[in-house]
Amino acid sequence: MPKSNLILGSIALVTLLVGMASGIAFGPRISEPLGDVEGLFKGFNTGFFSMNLEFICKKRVYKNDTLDIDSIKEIIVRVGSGKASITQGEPRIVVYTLSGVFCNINPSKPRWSVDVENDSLIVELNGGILELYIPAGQLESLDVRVESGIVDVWLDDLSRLEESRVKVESGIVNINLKGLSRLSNYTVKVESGVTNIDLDFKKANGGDVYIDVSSGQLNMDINGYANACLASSYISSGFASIDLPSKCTTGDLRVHVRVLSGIASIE
Amino acid sequence: MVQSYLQDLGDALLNPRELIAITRVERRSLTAPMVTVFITISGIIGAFWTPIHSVIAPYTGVSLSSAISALIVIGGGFVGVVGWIVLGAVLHAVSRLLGGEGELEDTLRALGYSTIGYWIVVPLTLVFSIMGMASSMIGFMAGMILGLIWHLYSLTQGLSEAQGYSPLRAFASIIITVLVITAVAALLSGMVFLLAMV
Repeated sequence: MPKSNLILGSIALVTLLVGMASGIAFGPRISEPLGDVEGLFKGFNTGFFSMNLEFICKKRVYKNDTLDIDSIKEIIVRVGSGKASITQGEPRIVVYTLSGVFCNINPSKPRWSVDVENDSLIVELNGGILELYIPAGQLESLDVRVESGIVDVWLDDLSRLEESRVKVESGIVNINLKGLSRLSNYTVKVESGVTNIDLDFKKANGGDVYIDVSSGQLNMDINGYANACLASSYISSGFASIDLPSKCTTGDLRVHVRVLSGIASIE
Repeated sequence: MVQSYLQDLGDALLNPRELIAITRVERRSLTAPMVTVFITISGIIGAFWTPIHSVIAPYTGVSLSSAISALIVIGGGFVGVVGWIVLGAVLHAVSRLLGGEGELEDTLRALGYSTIGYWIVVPLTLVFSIMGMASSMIGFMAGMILGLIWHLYSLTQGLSEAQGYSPLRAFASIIITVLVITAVAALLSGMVFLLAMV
């Protein structure tokens, strides 16, 4: 009998035994609760299936309270190339990976991370899809930076939000903020991406809106009260469409637009 | 003994006719093909179950999910052995009808050893699992198709040797057996459905 048959038989048997063991023992090993957020990444590196990540994240948030989202007052989202979605809802973080590959291939460069520092929730994403559900009532600051990914932010009841910054280098950003009453500083900087922003003010407040479009496209719609809203626009070569409230309770609404070579449309 | 068994598995994959001829002459017991069926079925179920297991584990707890998984994987192996005997009996009857002259043990050996062809399902499923749940299903299906081809090759050759007729008749016996089993399963399903409706 040829030796190759023996080798092939050995491979087949070992493979099947691995399959048996995998079904019984492998799943729970990678699903075990891990110590902390950093441990979560380490744990995932030793894991095998990207499916687990979603559940690990849910577990982390619910069981160990590593991320106390209820008390978060500031959110910082940085998206390198993936897609981040931040939505009003029960505290929950769901992370998918694009095309199902490992979420964290290189341990030194996590493709996503969620961390809490001094009431701030910092989300970084360099690949994959992240859905973040938060109660936004406590939120005082929102900072979104997009390099090339996609960000959807849909938040209601932002009565405490005082400042927000959006910086888009080349990605696509959809931001819809409702229930604003304290927002006094809103900065939008679009370098080459497409940014759609809807702001809905619940009550009158003073504040500044700074818009800087280098070459991308900005579609901005401000609704509700805007009695003392200063819009300062600087458009290099991009396209900006800004819809302001039709009713201004005072005459303080001022729009400053400077266009170098782009198109600005203000209604 | 282990080396001999591993050699048998390799022969079942590459030289099934030779293997069945040897086991018939040596009048070997059915333990080895039975173990092969058990390990193959459990291995396939284990590979298929791994991503599902990892999904349910956080909800049920590790201990419970492991117990459920062990039950499914090991239990699936036992069910596979029962299926091997039933399927082997039907295959043997059909083979005899088509002019076969072998014993039931020979048919069971050919059928049991030939299931090792499905070993390819495990690596394909697990490797594709790295790319996600949907991919693991693609890997599983691809493995099953390749495994089926390998299984049919091994079984056709082995059955031909066991029954002393041509590979064409062996293949016909397999097809007819599959049709018979499918028809019986459909009939039973229909009866159960009708009873449930009443």
